[in-house]
Amino acid sequence: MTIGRARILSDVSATIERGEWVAVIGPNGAGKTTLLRALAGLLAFAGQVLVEGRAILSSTRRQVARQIALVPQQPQTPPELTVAEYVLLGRTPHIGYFATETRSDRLAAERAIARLSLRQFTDRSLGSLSGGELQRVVLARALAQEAPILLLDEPTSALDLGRQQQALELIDELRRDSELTVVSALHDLSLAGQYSDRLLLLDGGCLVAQGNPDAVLSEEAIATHYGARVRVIRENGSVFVLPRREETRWAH
Amino acid sequence: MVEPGKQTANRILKACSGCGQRFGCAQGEPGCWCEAVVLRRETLAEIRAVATDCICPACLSTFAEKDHAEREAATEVTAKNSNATIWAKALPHSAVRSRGVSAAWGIIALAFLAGALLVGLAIGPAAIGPGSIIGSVLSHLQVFHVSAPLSSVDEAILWQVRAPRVVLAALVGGMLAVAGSAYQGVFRNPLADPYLLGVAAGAGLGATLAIAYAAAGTDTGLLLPLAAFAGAALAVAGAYVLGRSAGGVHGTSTLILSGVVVALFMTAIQTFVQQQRSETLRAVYSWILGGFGTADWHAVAVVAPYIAVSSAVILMHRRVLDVLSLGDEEAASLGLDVRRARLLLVLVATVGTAAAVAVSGLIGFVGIIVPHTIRLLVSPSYRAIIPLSLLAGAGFLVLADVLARSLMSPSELPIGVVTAFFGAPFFAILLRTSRRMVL
Repeated sequence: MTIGRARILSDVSATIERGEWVAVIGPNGAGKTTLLRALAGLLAFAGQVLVEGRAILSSTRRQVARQIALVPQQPQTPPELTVAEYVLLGRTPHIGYFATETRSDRLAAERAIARLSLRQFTDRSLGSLSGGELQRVVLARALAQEAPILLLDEPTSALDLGRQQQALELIDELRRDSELTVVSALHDLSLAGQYSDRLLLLDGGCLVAQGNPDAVLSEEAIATHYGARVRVIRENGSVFVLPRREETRWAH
Repeated sequence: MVEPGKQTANRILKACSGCGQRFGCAQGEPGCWCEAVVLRRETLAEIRAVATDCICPACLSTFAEKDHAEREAATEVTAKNSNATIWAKALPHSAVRSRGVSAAWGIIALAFLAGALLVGLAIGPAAIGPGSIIGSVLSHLQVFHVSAPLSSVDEAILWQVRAPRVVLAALVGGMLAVAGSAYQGVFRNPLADPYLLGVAAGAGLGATLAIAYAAAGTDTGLLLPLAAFAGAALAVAGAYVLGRSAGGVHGTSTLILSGVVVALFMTAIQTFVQQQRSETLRAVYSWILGGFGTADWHAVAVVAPYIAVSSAVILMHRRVLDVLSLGDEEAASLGLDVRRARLLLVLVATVGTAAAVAVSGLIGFVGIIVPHTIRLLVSPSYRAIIPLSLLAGAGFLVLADVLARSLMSPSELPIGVVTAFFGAPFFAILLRTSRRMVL
């Protein structure tokens, strides 16, 4: 399957395989969110995004939404809606314009809710949930969409360290048992390195490096594109990126 | 094969969806006994085809054994699927649904409207009791064979004077309330009302031009609604075109500002015309204040089709409006063509509002207060707001009209004064006592 071969920001071209987890990394303003929005067909752009050979821009919104679910960085969660109602909104691409959801839509929403262990929250309002619970609800909505491709914009940005790991583990589990292709923008390079199969490094709107985490995450590359001093530690096939304070400051 | 084991999850006693046996079920939560059973997708699909809810350990065993045998038969294919979805065994039940309109609220709203219609028909200078009204209604329906309880004069008062007025007020009230909810949903703005994009200014200008420049002897009764309708439609079309050409990415706020610009421009022309023809001021003013003093069956027949189509289309958008509440971007990522939906909603709401304004003048407040009352009392979902607003708006305006014509009888109060005077305090109390946020 090809998502890529896209010329979006200025020269971004990539192919993403079915079932892969690809993390989009890069400094602030590099165009990570823009890339995800373009992949979801939310932007008009010159170039092409192909999903299984079909161009996103020539598909209807409904067709795209059946293929691609997007979880934005800060999703709108109207506080008065219940979890059930919110997850049901994820069924929109499967429901006729003037129709309301059918039994099969309710079953799909139910499965998504059960899958993310949210049954006890089904009738709770979104406003009464914690940040971590809310994030699971948003994932449930995306899962209810039953699209084979899941785009996640900074899924861990609002979470503490433990919940970041839990969220990424959960996404990985969902990816495996629902056979999803995941493309996520990730801020934390260590997490990106550990969870994704492949990295796309963007800087200034250009794709400057792509490949497996071991190849992309180097001290030089991070210094060049992030302007950051880091140490990259490779251990048991994992890559850790640690920020490092300049040594001269230690002197006195 | 399946052991209802040592788990601690909260169980409820449930009848098996397969065989009807009672069993303890934790509804698929972590810790439920069914968690220990791993099945292939194909088997899950089979279970789902025969059962609508969770099934008991015995039934699940049967499926699990069959599943196991099939898996043995094709080991290499199923190896990948071995961590298949254990969650799906807690089969779906009815918990996941949108609230919509509950039966209780539906009945309350219908009763409110029926009561308001009855009050509207009963109250007036000639005393006609509710019993006689119902009798008269039944006598008109051939099937009941009831003889008319009213004198022919009372019959005429009831059916030629009061009934068209009550029906028109109900139509206009329902339309304004539904159009108001649609505007609030489309613009995600609690202050939006049906006049947001310049309907009021456009209709006002149209009416003023008709009153000021109509050739002597023309029947303004016929011309005025047409002119008001045309002005309203023109204003919103202008605002929409301006908003689209200027707006682009900024979405609804540009559209609202365009409405303000168009409204200001049209008001300027209207003021100029009034200045030139100051003898028309009184007629224009009384039209703008609104009311149903001139209502007849003809007016009802003219606006009913517009209002029926418009409110039906908005009703069918109730789920789309909920999707729009997630914002343009997320609504688009859920497969909604946001621009088309917004255009369609604005279009039908405007046509309906313009038709209502054409026959009743500018009646404020209904389009804001009714949807918000429903939102605060019942649910923030448009599935409740739209249908209940239709009923409650109709009843509300019928009652307001009763007050407008009876408080200072025989003279009439402008109905806008009544809606605001009684609506505002009611809404203030509601706002204070309700803990829910508005939007």
